[in-house]
Amino acid sequence: MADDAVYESFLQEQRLALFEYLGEGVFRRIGPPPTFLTGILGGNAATAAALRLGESMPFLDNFIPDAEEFWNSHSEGRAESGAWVEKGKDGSERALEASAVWLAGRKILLLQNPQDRYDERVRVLQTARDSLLVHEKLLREIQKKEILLHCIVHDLSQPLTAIRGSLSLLKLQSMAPEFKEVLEIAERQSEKQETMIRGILEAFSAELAAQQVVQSDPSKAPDLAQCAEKTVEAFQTAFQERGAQIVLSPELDLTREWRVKGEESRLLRIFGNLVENALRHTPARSTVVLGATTDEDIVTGFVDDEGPGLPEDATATRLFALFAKGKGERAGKAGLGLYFCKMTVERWGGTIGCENRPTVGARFWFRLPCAQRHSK
Amino acid sequence: MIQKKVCMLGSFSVGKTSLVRRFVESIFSDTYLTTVGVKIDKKQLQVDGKDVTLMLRDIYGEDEFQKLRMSYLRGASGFLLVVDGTRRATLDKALAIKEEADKALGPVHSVMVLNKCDLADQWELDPEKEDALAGQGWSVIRTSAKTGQGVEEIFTTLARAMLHK
Repeated sequence: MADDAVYESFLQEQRLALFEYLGEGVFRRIGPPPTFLTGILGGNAATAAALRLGESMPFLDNFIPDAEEFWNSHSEGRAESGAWVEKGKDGSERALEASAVWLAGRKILLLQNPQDRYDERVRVLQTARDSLLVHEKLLREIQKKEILLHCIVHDLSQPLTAIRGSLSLLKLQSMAPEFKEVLEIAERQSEKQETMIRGILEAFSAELAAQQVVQSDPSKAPDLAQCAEKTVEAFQTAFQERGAQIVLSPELDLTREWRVKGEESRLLRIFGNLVENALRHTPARSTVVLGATTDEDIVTGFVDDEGPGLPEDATATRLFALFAKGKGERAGKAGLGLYFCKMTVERWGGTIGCENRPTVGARFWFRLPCAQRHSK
Repeated sequence: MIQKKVCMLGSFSVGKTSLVRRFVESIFSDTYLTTVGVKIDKKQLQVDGKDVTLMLRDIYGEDEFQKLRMSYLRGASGFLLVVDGTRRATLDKALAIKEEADKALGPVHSVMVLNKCDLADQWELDPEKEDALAGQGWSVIRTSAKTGQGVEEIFTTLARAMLHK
């Protein structure tokens, strides 16, 4: 096959047409017109010696000034039009792309019909945009759910406030001891109910709050050790009432900073929930210890208790699942506290888990990326 | 014959292609097919006794996958800024595109199109916001490519503005 025939076959196979720009919107075709060009322009136009391509293809009319600017600047590389869809004289729609280049000292326009590449790009972008739309829709659903929950909480809480107020007033009356006992049960249960409702709201609110911007300035990132210290202070009374102790690990170095990725109020809530969980399983005269360790760019916070340890069939997945409840009387808070911890820690790029300690009790831990490490 | 170039602008999936297809071909499909690149359609209409051909440039919606090229807007006499009334963020996007276009090309006649008005229970735009836009000088028209409501009106309104500059 002669070289010209190979060249023509190549252009046909690549769906590529070459034109030399003669000026003032006029082009001269180089080589025979490929099939796609005939379909777009029609037979006569495609074979014409000189063409005003901009008149036949309005999109190209828009590109020609850019092409002229490129040719006049004698730049290297090429100027590209981007893709457009052209409806040809044959009624078919084709994806086209044009490029302005310098070849052998001449102003050349390359016109291509890269249909396969275009179709693939459409497939990819279609999937991406469909996913974006689904994501947007889910966010809206979550926001609606949040508003509904707030309304429910408000409506559920109101009668409780009245009930608790009435019970407080009743307590002031003189009554037989057995009635006082019943009254106290009613008070405790209504307080528990209020706590549960608040817990549900916090758990679901955390989903949206997790989308809030996490503190990116290391100097303002929360200090895990300070949060542990505050938690110990906050729970002193509750542990004393149980006849137990809560302390900071003596190995915790408070002279250095333990800044982690996250947000302080939620980090305090994480420690709080883990300690509440420990308190439920802590016998009298035992000690719960809060501490932290570090390993390169990860900080691990932990809560050690001296309770009965994790049951044999307990796994971290089950314990931290939504609405998971422990067994026995001390299962608490509708299974939301540990779920909240898991969700929040994972949103911050960390991990959470639990295990039995070698001697007695269990350790609940969580790991977070370090925000900054240096001594005070 | 008077010829005017009109660009359809806005975020992805606001209904730019659907509005063009409704106007040019009187058809509508519920299936979302993303636009890649640019598509040009032609439609003749009569405005105040004059025959006008609108060259409609249906341009892909700008997002993180495709940035709008200002060169696509060159030579346009009018913009239809399309907003999806069920997605609040698309209004902000439309205003941002207009601001960018004004900087690149100077002011161009524009109509703000609040599309998908048939989805009344999902509408996210406050009437106060619409009034505020009108107060700022915008022509704001609610449309539905699905039902056809307002579709002729947006093109006629824009064509009239372009003719009587």
